[in-house]
Amino acid sequence: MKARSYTHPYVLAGLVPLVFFLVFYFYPLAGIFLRSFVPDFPAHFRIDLSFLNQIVESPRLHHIIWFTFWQAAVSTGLTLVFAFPCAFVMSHYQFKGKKFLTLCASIPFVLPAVVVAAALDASFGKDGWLGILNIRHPLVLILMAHVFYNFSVMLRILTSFWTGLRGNIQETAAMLGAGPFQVFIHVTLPLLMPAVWAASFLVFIFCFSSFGIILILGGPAYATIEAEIYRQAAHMFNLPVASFLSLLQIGFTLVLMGLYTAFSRKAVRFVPKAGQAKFKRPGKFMEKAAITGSFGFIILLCLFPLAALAGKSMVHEGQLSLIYYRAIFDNPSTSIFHIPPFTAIKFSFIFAGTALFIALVTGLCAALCLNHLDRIKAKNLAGFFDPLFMLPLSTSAVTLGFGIIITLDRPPLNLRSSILLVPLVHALVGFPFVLRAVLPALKSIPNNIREAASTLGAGPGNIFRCIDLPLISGALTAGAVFAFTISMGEFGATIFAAGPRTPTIPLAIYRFLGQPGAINYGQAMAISTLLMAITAAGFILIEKISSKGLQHF
Amino acid sequence: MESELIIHNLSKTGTEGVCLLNNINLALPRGSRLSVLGPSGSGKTTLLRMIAGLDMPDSGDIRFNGVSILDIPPHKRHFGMMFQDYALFPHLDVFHNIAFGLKMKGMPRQEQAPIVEEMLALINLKGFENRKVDKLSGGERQRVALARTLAPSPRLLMLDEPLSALDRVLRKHLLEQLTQIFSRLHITTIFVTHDHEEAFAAGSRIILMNQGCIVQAGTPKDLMLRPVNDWVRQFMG
Amino acid sequence: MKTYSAVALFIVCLLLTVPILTGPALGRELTIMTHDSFSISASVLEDFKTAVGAEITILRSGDAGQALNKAILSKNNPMADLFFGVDNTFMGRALTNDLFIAYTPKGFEDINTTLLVDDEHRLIPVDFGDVCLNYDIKWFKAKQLAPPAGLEDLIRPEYKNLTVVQNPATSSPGLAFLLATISRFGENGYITFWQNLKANGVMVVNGWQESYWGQFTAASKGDRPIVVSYASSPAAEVFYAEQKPTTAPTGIVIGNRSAFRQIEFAGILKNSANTDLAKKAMDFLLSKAFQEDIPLQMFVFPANTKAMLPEVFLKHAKITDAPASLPADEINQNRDRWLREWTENLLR
Repeated sequence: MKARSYTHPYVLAGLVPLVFFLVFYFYPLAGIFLRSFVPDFPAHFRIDLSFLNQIVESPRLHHIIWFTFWQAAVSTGLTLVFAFPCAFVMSHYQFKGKKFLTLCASIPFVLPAVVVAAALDASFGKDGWLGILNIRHPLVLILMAHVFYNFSVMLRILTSFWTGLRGNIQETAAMLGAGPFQVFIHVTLPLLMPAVWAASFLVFIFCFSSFGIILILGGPAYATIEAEIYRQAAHMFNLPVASFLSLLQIGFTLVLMGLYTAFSRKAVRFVPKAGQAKFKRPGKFMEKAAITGSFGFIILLCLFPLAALAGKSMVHEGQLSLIYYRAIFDNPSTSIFHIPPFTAIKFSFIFAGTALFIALVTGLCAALCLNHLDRIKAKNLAGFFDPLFMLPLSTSAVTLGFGIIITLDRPPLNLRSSILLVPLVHALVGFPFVLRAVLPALKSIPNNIREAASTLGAGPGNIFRCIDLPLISGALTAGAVFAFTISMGEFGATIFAAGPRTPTIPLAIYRFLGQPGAINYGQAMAISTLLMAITAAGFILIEKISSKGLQHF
Repeated sequence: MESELIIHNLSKTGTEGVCLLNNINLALPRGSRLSVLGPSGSGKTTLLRMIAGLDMPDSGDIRFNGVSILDIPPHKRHFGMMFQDYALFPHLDVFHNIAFGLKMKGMPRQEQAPIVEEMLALINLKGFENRKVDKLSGGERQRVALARTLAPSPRLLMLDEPLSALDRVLRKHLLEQLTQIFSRLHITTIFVTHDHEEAFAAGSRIILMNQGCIVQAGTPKDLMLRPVNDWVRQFMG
Repeated sequence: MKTYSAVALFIVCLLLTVPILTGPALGRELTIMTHDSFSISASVLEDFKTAVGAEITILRSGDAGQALNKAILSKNNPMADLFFGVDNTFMGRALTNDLFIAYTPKGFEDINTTLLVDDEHRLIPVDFGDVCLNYDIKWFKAKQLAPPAGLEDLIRPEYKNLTVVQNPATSSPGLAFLLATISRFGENGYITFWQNLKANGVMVVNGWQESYWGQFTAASKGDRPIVVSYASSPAAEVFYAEQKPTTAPTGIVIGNRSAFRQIEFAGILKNSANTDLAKKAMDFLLSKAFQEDIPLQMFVFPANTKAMLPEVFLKHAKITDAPASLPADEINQNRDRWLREWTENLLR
């Protein structure tokens, strides 16, 4: 009997995501790095490091690296400042509209950068609903967009762990004579810190590798490493510098991911039963005020821009009208390059469905493998693959796209112009989310249940079918819906991968916003609103099917 | 009587060189009832898990009916094990928990039902088929766990501290029920506990373990009246 | 119950993948790789398909620089058969990377001789345009300010905060304008000019669309009345206006070598599997049908001297006799360095 052996089917299942990664992530990256640093391969193997001079001598590049860290830190700090009090309210009190608030806060995360930029413009720009503010400074817009995007992530992680903290520990401290403030400082905060760090590192990573937002809202003056990689590769065709920056970014991100996963594990140790507690109804005035404040803030931050966007889509020349929605189904333009919105919607769904399938299978296999490795105490192996599998979240799309152009162009992997390319790339981005949703659920299954099943005659196959799968079905669905919505909103990699006959919704929005005229703008708003509606529907579905919702990240 | 279960020189060393099992030798005749007694950390659960196939020894052999079973995975050994915290399947109701072993054998649903009913009668929980497992009390859970273990007619029955999670009154009551059920069925039973009263009631033979070794083996009388050393005497109280 | 709904969802998604597995179209296909500004009218496209005798797929792959880079990257196994949109600023990079085969298309002798740059006929000129400053006539009249007459005017205090240009690294007209300033002020003087321009409040945006339809007063709600655009943009303004004016609402600055001539080329990609189709396509690109479609689709001038210009062009579009220019070799050797210098100085 080989319970501890590495040939257990769950460990072998880990080969699926590994092969997926090797072929569609590492191979293209290796291709582009080789091309960048060893330009005469395979004729001569001469590593050309002359580009390093450029980097060392460019104060602008140093500034860009510094700015990337700076804006990520400030964005994270701002998000924390706003999310912390809201997490307090959400984890302590029960009130009407709580689920609605969580839903509102979650939608921005999966929207493409184009839509977010348009939403911020529709609310705070010159013609926006709060047009008097007329916020145009690129840095302010970037920070706002980052908070808009990541608020829900931080809120969810903090709320989940804070809810689990309430109860016995705090009551014990109170019985030992600690007043509420002291309980907070000496008990709650220290126990909550790992979760705060984990959430902060995750948001930092997202802001660090933010691409679409910087590109669209930052203009030429503000660049991060990611935007600079794009500029150097796609425009300047300076592959060595672009690849070097890419490697730098991957290196930074790996370190940050490692920190995130380490703090994540620590947080689970401190608060094993995250998310289970009874909520109080607000009684005192201060409590009610706090709840109203949080409610209002979340509405303003998350719902207001979305509502402004939807509003713009339904107003034509000052009056309520559905003309833009009707236009989606016609083809009013005579240009042959016009992307019929209906075609874009169709392909978005097809790609999202396929991407979901691939991400689900690979994510599930990865989760089974990692969890099993953890159980048989192969902690080092698990600790190595965990951050590795998260890499696609922050790898530059243009590096990957270029790598695909030069590596995946021959049979049997002639995917360059294949329709499968888009869903594969989307699956790469969605896979980490499936993993992060399913892995905690797997970990929370007590192992003795599996052992009991095995003494009752269940082999590994039956254990998977009858025990593991039913118990993680909620998390699996949550991960699936996440992968689906992310695919729907993916923009950076899709620009590279999508062919002319298979557009997606974000591409259509981008094209429409690039043309002048009210009809085009209105159509872009209409499609964006549809995208938001689809996303909201997906998240509502998650709440219904999974009792824990999107607790774990 | 030929021995059904033979444990021969079973040893295991844990992390940091801790001795978990030290040359354990044991022979169990068919239908006998053994109690394994000892303080926590003495190795009794480890021994049980090895017999079940959930852990592997470093050296030694386990034979059942003359055949070594070390290479047989737990789901093929047909041994029943009742876990300390019952390990009921939270997503299945009482009926499906109990029927699980039968389902694994490939038994069709119509055949499962009468056996499950029989089990429910045995544990005095008739009518509980559709109850959700998290709505059961401690004593009810223990009984459902027992029924689940017995339903597929295991060749050997192991119970790992089955009563330790219950309060005193319930413990006494359930112990009586258990011993009645044991005497009705004729399965070889191994009962692990740290409480010597339970050990005496449950088993006709006792082995007393400490730090991975069998300190003394014999009948309850042997241990009470003829303890081999001071430690045994103190443990017995 | 949960499991069933999850499985149902899964099956729905599986069904959505079926269309992906349905096969591609049959028959031969010609693929043209080009930039995002490429445009052709539907009827001419049909004529195109007939002339070539196959389906035509047009791969719009970013701006001119980006599309070229992708072509270079994939040159051993090209993604297309024909490349349309190399301009004279990127010509050097395209030729150094040996992307094209030589071919002399039908109609070659009708091409405007000033546009012929490649003696080996690897890159064939298809159209050209002059990149220059455009200004909003109405705005300047209202402010009673004379519109700029040349590049030097932009750094004068009266013209503070009035200009918007494109980042030359990310925009083809932006690059052309930068080259115009280098041609005008020389290697040693152009950075000073740009530093003065920056001190005078010039706005830099990433692309032409953002500058013209986002910031230019005559075409958007922006507040910049001077923009870098094309000499044919006024004609476009007239063409797209709802009520056709008699004179164009915008003016151009082309005197004094301040306009840069951009010539656009097409070439047949080496290693393509459809070279015969590509040759027919190249012939069509120089034909009257395509050349006469160019002005109102892409708002540049046809290279074929025999092609007739539409009326709106004859009335409102101008080309300069003395454009700013730099030798292709010089551009090729120094372009990246110039871009770096400009970026270091302007985008800090």
